[in-house]
Amino acid sequence: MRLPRRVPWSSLAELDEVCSWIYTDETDLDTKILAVQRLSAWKAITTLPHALDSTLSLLTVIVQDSSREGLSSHMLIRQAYAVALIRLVNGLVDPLQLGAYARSIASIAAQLGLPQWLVELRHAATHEDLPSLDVLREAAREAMAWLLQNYFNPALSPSAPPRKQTPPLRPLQPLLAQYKMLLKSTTRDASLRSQYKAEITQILRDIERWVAEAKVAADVSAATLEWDDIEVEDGEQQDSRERWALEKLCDTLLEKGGLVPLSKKKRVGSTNPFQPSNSVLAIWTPLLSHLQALHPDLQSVLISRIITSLLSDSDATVSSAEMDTIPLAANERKRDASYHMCVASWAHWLVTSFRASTADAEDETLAEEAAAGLITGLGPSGGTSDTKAARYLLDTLCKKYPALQATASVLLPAPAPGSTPRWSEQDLETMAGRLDALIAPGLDTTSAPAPSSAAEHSLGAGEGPALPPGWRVLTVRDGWKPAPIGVHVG
Amino acid sequence: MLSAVAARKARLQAQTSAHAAPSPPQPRKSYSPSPEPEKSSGDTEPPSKRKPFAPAPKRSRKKRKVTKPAEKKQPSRYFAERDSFKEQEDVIEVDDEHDPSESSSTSGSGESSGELFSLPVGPTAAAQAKRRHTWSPGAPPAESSEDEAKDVTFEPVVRAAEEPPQLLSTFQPVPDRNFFHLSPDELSSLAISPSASGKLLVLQLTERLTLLGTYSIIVLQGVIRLNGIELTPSLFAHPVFAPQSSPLPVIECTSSKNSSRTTVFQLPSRFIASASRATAVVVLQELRTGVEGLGRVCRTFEGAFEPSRWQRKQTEVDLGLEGVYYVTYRNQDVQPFVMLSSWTCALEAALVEAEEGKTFVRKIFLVQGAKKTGKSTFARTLANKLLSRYKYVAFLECDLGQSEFTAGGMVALSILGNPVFGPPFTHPSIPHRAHYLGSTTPRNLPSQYLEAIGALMQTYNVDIQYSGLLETQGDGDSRIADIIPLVVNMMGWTKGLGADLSRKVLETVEPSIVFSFEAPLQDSAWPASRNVDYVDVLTPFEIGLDGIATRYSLEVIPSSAMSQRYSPADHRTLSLLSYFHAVFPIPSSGGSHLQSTYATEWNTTLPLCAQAPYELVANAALDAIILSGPGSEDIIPYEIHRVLNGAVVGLVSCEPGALDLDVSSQNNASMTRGIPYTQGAAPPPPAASTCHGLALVRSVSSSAPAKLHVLTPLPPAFLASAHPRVLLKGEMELPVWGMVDFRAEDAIAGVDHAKVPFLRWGKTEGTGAERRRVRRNLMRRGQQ
Repeated sequence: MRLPRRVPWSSLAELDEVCSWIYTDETDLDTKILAVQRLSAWKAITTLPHALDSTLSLLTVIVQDSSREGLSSHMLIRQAYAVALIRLVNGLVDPLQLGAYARSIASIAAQLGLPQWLVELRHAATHEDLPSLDVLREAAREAMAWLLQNYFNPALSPSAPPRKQTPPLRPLQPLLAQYKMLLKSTTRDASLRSQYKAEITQILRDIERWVAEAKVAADVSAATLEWDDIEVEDGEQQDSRERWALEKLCDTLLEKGGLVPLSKKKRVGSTNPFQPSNSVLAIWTPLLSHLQALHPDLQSVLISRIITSLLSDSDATVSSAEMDTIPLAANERKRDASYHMCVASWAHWLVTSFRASTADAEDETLAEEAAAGLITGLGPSGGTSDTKAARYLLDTLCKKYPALQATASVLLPAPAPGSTPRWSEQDLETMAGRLDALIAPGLDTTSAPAPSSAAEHSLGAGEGPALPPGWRVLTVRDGWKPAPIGVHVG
Repeated sequence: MLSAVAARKARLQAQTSAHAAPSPPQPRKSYSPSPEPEKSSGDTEPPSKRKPFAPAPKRSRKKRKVTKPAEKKQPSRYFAERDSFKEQEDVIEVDDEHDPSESSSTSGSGESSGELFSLPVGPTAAAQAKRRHTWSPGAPPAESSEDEAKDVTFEPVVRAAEEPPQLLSTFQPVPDRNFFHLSPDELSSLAISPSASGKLLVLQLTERLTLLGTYSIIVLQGVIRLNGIELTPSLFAHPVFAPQSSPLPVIECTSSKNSSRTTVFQLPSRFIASASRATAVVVLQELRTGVEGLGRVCRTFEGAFEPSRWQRKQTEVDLGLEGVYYVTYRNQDVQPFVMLSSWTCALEAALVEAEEGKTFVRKIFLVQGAKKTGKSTFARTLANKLLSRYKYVAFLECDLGQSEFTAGGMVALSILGNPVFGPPFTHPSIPHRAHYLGSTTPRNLPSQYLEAIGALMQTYNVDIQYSGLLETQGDGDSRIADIIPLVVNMMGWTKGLGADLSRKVLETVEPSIVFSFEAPLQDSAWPASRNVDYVDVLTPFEIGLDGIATRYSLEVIPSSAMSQRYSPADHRTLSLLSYFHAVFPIPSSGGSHLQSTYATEWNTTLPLCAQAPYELVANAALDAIILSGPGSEDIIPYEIHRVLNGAVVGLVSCEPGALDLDVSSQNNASMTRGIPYTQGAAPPPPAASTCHGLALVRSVSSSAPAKLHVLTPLPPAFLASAHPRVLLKGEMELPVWGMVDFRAEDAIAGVDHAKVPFLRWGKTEGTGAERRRVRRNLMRRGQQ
């Protein structure tokens, strides 16, 4: 069950009413006062969306500033404007500080499309002299206009076309290329290590910053995201953003010249254990470990992206359809057997060797996940020649984790060479049989507990005992019937 | 400090090698109460940067430094010379160091045997503690008041040994040998209600049994320990709630100083042979309360009272009791209750110390510490422990966020008559007296918070402390009835304003014994300032209370012992929903008027939206509606019905004249449709009001006079006598889980999701459409 959010209005029409009170006639103070009163009441019902909360603060000052009644000091107005604007900017920017490290407010504001000078004003009002009344009034006007454009309009017409394009995500490749160059130098010549230490730290931080930017971009570029539907403070809501950003990161890593060397010779790794060659490992392990520490999901995301790429036809563009931010020529992505073997060896290494310190159980889970992905993708035919690498990866994993062997053998009969599989009536039975075999051991025989006998304990059976004056027990006989909380019946 | 760490490591190693025996490790209890040496400050303190009167926490840290070398020697002594004590359950090593200079100089040599001895816990150990904490509340302190303040630290000697064992149950039920089905006739003959099926268990010494689910337990013979509490034979069936969301109670069979053969019942003859060889005989009975239905209401806790599927596969033992599951191994889902040795020692010593004073002496126990330290668990254990000696124990809840006996948002005074086994949501109650603040933190209403606590303390001091004297005696209860001790559970907010508030609460409560938790180690936000905060909290108490109180430092509960799956917000949600779905028994006229009423059943057949409400005619049923919380001053009378719709309110009754009713408020009755609301009215003074519980205003009519439809679990008879005429609304709101309908996937009470007011599914549109969120763990440049 998806959990809804609580909103203070009973329908969007109520929000629309408030919006029209505020914006229809800029000079009409009376309707603005109505809006302030309504928003104050809403605020007592439940926490307001930040944009509405800011609207309330700004509107309160604007009303006070316009009426000029009993105004003892202009300082009061300046302070009130300043606080409302500071809180507006902070409240918009803070939720988007998604990385481990702080980003500059200006850069996040730019991604949001918030006027840069409001950010500057925020800084001045916080740390420097309080800005002049003129500037503050103008800023409040601009902020109110921005709220109409960016909050009220989209909120009131949810199906409206998307807002203006936000700046695209900058490409990650240059950062990775620089990283690779630095690491190549230091792995070849250990004496350079101390010399490049600062630069490597810097590039690692830059890559981390890119991940943080990608998380913010996820909001606008992925329309399917639903990350704010649960009241949990952090956690789940951010998972999908984080996943999106990590997928982008992994896709870039998996391009040629990334985890897979450009030179085909270098792609050949060792087969026992099945992993990339040591020189390749030496370059990329520091980055992966660094990112893994900050993003615990990286390992599984990278494995799943590898499997996706292994299973897709060799000439298909794996993910470039969604990669609107980093367009790539199709031929550049043309992949071949050595590429596939190399990424497969990475997957194996990720499952078995990466983070060797973690519990065995976790390894096992990863291996299971990987195997499940492979088996599903390979299908009952056991794969074609294009998916040789995937098949090899699955076999290697099964050798390492015997528990998987049994499952895999049920699901993937060894491909009989030469015989092209044909669909026949018996296949359906075979599939049903397999399904039974799979379900049987885990069969859950227990059913949900029967409702307790306490059920009949309901209020007001019969005439009921005396209640305080003015109280009475309602029953269905009184015309009452169940209705959502907040709907009055009777 | 480094050397001390090294010493500890070495000790640990020595300990593990000595502990090679495969049998389940006997938890070592160690105990080193170190009374503040009265004239020692000069010779042991490092001379540098010490003020002449260093505050207590610093001294205690220093003292630990002194004790450690002495402790280092204990393992070898313990195993080489005192082997026979291995058989004993509770071995305490008392490290007496009246002369700190000697104890530090003798460390490492073998001469300290005079200072160091082992003895079994019990009267002797207690007497030992007593001897060193001699103080007479009647007599004026001989020394300066600061020196009189006592400070007891229980150092855990071997942390590794305190890790709970992997094997949670060693009791293997064998039908008709140590495990018997009881027929209804046999249950009746034991004076046990035959309505639920029961099993009789015969336990041997040191056997353990861990169960998941809900059950009631009756001890027929011997002594068992449950959550660190010893239960002796009695007629009372203790209800036990053991969901996965909290540590599971472990039933342990212990030998006790009491005669283990005591039995209050005539066992049916077929058990006598088995029972005569047993250490303890207990009856387990099914307990069907409907509490597991809360998992349907709040899906985050779905299935909390039953094992997960893979766990089920592991367990082959079936006890044949519905809703009770045998747990063999510890795993990430199932954590056993761990009673840290420092807790046990502190409890024992504090109890003895409390009893040592004459009968009519304040017995106020205060538990304080930061969040996630085990504070609430300890407070509950303390109350349970006290209930083995006192007939009633009062409990003052100062933690607004996670109340033990009430829904959140209030400070409450409850009176217990029997120990409780289970997390807070399994024992919601109607408090003796409470004050609703409507917020999960006192951050926005510090003065109201303090005033409310002050009023409750007044109630305790005047009305409750000795009220047991008025109770009729002679019901065969041997527990002390003429004084009711008080347990105070402090809030977990110990920084900044929280520290300030804590200090003021301490001054108000005037505890006789304080239990403090060490600052949690996992809190790494500002490692440098942590100790400072700690000092801030503790120092004022030393000064403010003239050092009357004894303080026990407790070890923080290991984070592994707490469930990681649920956040405090989850627990708050569950406890509020548990309250609204609870069924309170109608107070029986024969029962004690003192004891708080607990919910005994939960009705979760219907979601809140489908439960028939009470109807209140606003102008007839209510004197006032009061809003509190930041921003509530700005709500005009015209909007009040909007604010009340769907609100969680406190049901408050006031003494006549307590409410400052503005006559002009009646004038705007047309504006509010008869709702008695005055903008900006102050909440009723705590001294002249009490909150009986919470209610949900499920809807407000649009006609005049306004009618409010209200849901509350309070029984009608109680409402009639309590007569709440004031509704107080704070910041707290109904969790969304309470607004949805668990019976259907896409509708609420038959209304399609898209048409449900006040709720919105799906993605929010627009920038800034989310609630403001605050990150407190953001790292700055250069923190890498």
